[in-house]
Amino acid sequence: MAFLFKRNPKSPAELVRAMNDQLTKLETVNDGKKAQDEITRYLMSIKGILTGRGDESNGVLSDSQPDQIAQLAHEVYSTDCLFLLIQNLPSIEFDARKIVSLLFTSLLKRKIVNRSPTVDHLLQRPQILILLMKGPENPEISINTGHMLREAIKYEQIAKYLIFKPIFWNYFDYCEYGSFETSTEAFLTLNDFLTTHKLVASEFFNSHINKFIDRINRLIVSPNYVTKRQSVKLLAQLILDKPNYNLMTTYVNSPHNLKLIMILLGDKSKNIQFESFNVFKIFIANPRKSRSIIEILTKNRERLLQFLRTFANDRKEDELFTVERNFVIEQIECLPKLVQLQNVNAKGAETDIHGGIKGLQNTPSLPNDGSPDSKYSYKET
Amino acid sequence: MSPEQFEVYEELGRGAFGVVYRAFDKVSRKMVAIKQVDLESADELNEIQQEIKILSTCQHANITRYYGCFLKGYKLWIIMEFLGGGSCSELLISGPFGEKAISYILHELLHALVYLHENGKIHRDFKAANVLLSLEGDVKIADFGVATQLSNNMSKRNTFVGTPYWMAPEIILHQPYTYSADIWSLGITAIELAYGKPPLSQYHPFDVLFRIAEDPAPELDSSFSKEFRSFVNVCLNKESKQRPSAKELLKHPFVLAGAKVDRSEIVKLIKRKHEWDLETGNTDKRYYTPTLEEQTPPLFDITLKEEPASTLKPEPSRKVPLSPIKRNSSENEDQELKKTLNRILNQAFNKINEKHNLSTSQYDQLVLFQNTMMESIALSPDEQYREVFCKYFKLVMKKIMTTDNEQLKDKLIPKNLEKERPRDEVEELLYTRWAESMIERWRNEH
Repeated sequence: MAFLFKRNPKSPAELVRAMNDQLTKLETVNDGKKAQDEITRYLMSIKGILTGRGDESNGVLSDSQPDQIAQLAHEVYSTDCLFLLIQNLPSIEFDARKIVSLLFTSLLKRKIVNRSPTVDHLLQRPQILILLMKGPENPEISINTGHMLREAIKYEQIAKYLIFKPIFWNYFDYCEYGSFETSTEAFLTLNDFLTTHKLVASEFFNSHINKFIDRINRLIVSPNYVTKRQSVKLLAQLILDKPNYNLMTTYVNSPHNLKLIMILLGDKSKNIQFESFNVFKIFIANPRKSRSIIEILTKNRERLLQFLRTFANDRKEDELFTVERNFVIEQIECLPKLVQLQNVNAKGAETDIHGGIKGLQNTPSLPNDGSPDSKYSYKET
Repeated sequence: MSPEQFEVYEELGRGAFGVVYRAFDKVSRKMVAIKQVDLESADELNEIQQEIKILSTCQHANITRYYGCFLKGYKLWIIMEFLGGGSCSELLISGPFGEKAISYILHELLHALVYLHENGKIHRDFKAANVLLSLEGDVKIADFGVATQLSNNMSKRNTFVGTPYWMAPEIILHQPYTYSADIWSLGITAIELAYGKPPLSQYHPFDVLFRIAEDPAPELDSSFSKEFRSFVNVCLNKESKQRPSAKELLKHPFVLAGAKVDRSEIVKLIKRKHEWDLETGNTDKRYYTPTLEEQTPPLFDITLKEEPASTLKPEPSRKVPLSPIKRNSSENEDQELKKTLNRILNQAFNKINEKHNLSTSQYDQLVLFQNTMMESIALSPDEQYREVFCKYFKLVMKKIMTTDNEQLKDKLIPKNLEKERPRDEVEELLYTRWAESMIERWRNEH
C-alpha cells in the first residue's frame, strides 16, 4: 500500500500525464502490476472529476467541476490518452475498464456551443475508432469497447466514416462466431450501424447492395439460433425502412432470396417463422413480381395456403398481423392454380408445408432462373 | 465452454426465467449452478442480453460469480458459481434468524450493493431467496437482473412467482426510481430474515401492491434491539429520497456490529437447516417443483422424476398462461370439469393457507404444485399427456391406499373419508334425523 503515501497529482492535466506514464509501463515485466494499480487509482480520481464527487482521499481539487473537465478533456486530446487507454484496455484492471468507458462517453457528450470537440478529435485520430472496431477480437474487453463504439456512432459523422471502412464487414463475421457475449455484442453494434442514421445506411446499401445481401443472407441461415433470429428481424426492419427502397426492391426481386425466406418460414422456431413472415409478406405485396417469383409461389400455392391459414394463430389479438396474414392469403389465392400434366391427381402438392418448403433447398427441379418446369403448366382459376 | 463439459444433476430452483440445476464442470473440476433460459419463449432477446452484460461486468466477493454462457438450441445456459448453503429463504424454513446472523448478512449485502450502485446497477429483485450462502458462510447476491427482467417479460405467465412483497412504493406507483429502491427491498429482506417472511405475506400479491403504496412503512416489534429497529426504519422510508445510500448504511451501528460477527453464525444456520431436513424428511426439493411445466409436448416422463436433469430435451416450451380462465375459451366441452377442479384446488389452497399461515416460499411451492395439477389434469394442450397423467395419478392414489405402510396412509389418506364411506343404514337414519331436527330448530327460530 506504499502508493497511498505518494504525492498525488494535483491538477487534471497532471493526472492524465501521470496516467499516460504508467500506461507505457504496463508491458514491463517488473512494474506491470504496480502500473496497473496506479492506473486504477488515477482512473478513480478521473471518475471523481467526471461525476462531481471528487474522491476525498485523492488530490486537492480546487477548481470548479466544468473547469476541471475542460482541463481534463484538453489534456486527453493533446496526449492521445484515449488511444493509450483503449490499446491497453486488456491490461487495465477489470473494474477500472468501466471508468475508461465512462471517461470516453462523458467526453463524447461534451459540447462547446454546437460543436462536439471529442467527435472532432476522434475523426482527426481515427486510429482510436479503428481500435474500438476491432474490439470483438478480444473477448475480454469486447463489452467495454462495444459500449464505447456504439456511443461514438450515435454521431452521424463517425458512423459515416466507419461504415465505409473495410473493417465494417468484419461485423458480419463477429456476430456469428465467438462467445455468446461477444457475438451478441457485435450484433448490437451492427444493428446500430444499420438502423440509427437511416440516410447513412441507405447510402451504404446503395453502394454495396449485392455484397450486403450476400452477407445478411448468410446470417439468416446461421446455425446459431440467436444470430438467425436477430438477423431475420433486422432484415425485415431494414427492408421496410423508407430510405432503403432500393434495398427492398432488389431483395424481393430475387427468387433466391424468396427461397431462403420460405425455408425460414418453415423453421422449427416460432419466433423465426414469425420474423421471416415479415419479410415474406413484402415479396407478396410487391405489385410487380418477377416471373420466377410467381413461379415459386405458384408451385407452393397449396402448401403456402395450408400453412398460412393456421400460421401464428396464437397472435390473433395482434390486429395488424391478422390483417397482413389475411392479405398474404388473399394474394396467394389469386395466383394461378397449378395442375400436374402427367398425373391430374395433385396429391404431391398437398404434402406437409415443412417438408415441402425445406425440400426447396435441395430440389434440383426448382429452377433458379425462372424457366418453367416442363412438368407443370398453368391454368387460370 | 460447451454442454459436454458439464454433468448436470438435480434441480436447484425454478423461476419465471427458467430452471437452475446443480452441475459439475469437468474442465475446472468445480461444482457450478447452471441456469437454463428458454429463449424461444421470450418475445425479446435484448433484455436477456442486457442482463448477461450486467452479469459479465460484475466481479465482487459478495456477488455470485458469473463464469460464462453459451447457447444450446433455444436454451441459453448461464454458468454461475454454486453455493452449497442454499438461499436464505430456504434456511428460513427451519426458523427465523437471530440478530447476530442478520447483522452479518446485512453487512455483507451492503458491500455488494455499494459495488452495484457505484457501477450504475440496480438489482431490483432483492429478497432472501436471492441471497445465497456458501457452506463456509459467505453471503452473496444472486440473480440480479435476469430474474427481474425475465419475469417482467413473462409476467403473464408467472403472476404469483414474481411476488411484489419486496417492491418499493415508488416502483409500485410507477414513479421513476433509483438505487434507493434496493435499499427499501433490503429493509424488507431484513424483516423477512427476522420473522421468516416479509411483511404483508398473509395477503394475496395483488392486494399487497395496494397496501405497500398506501399503508405506513412496516417495522419490527419491540422485542428486537434498538439498533436493528433503527436500521429497518431508515431503510423503509416511504420517501425514497430520504433513504440513506448503501455506503452510508455501512456506517449504521447495527451493520458495524455485523462486521464483527463471525461467519460461523451462518454455518450454524446451515447446520440447523440440515438437521431440520433430516427430522422432517425434507430431503429433496425436486418433489415440490413441477418438472413438467417446461416441457409440455410429447414427453411422458412424469414417472421418471429421478432421471438426471441432463436428459431433459431442449424442446421449445410452449407459453402457458397461468390463469386457467382465459385459456381455451374456444373449446367449452371440458369447461365444467376445469371449473370444478379449479374451484376445488382454490378452496383447498385457501383453507390451508389460512390455517397454517404459510411462509412465502411455502406459498410459492403450493401455487406451483397447484398449477401443475391444473395443467396436467385439465389445461395441457397435449391431450395424451393429460390422459397419461390422470392414469398415473390414479395409480399413485391406489398404491397409497393399498399400501401396508400405515404411516404413509395416515399422512395422505383423508381420515373422515374413510369413516364416511361405509356409513350404514342406522347411521344414515340417525344422520337424517339429526339434520331434520336442525332444520326444524332453524325454522322455529325464524
